[in-house]
Amino acid sequence: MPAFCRALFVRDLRLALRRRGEALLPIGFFVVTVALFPLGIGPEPQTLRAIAPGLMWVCALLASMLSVAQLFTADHADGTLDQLIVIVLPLCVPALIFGTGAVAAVEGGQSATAHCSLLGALLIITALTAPLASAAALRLAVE
Amino acid sequence: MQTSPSAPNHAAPLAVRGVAVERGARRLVSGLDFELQAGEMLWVRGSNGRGKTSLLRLVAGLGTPAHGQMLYDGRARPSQRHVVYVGHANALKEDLSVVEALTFLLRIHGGRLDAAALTDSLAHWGLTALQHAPVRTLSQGQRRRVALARLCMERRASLWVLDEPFDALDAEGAERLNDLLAAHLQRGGSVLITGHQHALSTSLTWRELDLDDRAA
Repeated sequence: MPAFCRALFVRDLRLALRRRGEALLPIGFFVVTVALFPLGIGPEPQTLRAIAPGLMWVCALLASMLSVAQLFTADHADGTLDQLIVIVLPLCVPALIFGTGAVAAVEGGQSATAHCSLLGALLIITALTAPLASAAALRLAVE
Repeated sequence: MQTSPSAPNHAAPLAVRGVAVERGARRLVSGLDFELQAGEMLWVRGSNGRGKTSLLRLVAGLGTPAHGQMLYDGRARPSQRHVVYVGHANALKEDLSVVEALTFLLRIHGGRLDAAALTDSLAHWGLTALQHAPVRTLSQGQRRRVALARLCMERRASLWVLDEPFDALDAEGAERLNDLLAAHLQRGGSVLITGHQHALSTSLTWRELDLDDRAA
């Protein structure tokens, strides 16, 4: 891992540990949102089984949105963004498709290997290209 | 102290050619031409809103000029190690300690972490006793000292771009910054600076660039 990425990772981990409430908020949101569905639409197992794959990934995506705002706002306000200009841009729609497929495959008694392989490939592509795309986007934003 | 830009030099650490400075859709300055040689300091002056900060951000690579170009040692883009930018904001995280915040700033800019140099840097700015204190417990002046402590670790003859560095510093802090500027200029570094002229030590020499004279 390049020194730059390691420094950023260590800093964010340290900040998350010191502000645990903020770090745990998306997880809490995810758990509460998922748990509300059986209350809202009824505890019918067949229905819940049918909607569970999509539901879980949509809730995970919404929960991640809570932290996306924090990702840039604080760094922009305190001047750190000027010093950085490189972070991560989530490419979440394909992840959602393949993630839902993986859950549905397991649910249907099939292997999720193919979906997980695609998710792995997506992770690698994102890790390689997201810093460049994010840098370009952030540079436009701070100009 | 002299005035007006110097004679051209193709290998200047910074050469600004016909640059226009804009904020939003408003053009603040146009036709800006100057060079900054090794061992030189240029003090950018101008009334509020004239574009001093905008110009410094362009030089630091945080924007693209609406017109004209900037060359760094003859190249179109500054390298990460060539330009050291300290802006209005200190780029410090409230929940990090002084040492952690400083270490982070050094590491993201690719600097090697030398423990002895870090200790010396903290001592230079009178921050030794506060090194493990969270940034949120520091005064504005102390925060400014932490942000500027990064300059102590610089041993390269780079281009320093300093936006109001004397802000919030007391007389002792200003003296320490002047010492750093003198050492940097002596080793062939260059400085582009804004702020109050009276804070600069009279033992330093600098040129002036008045943006009020170049308003678009």
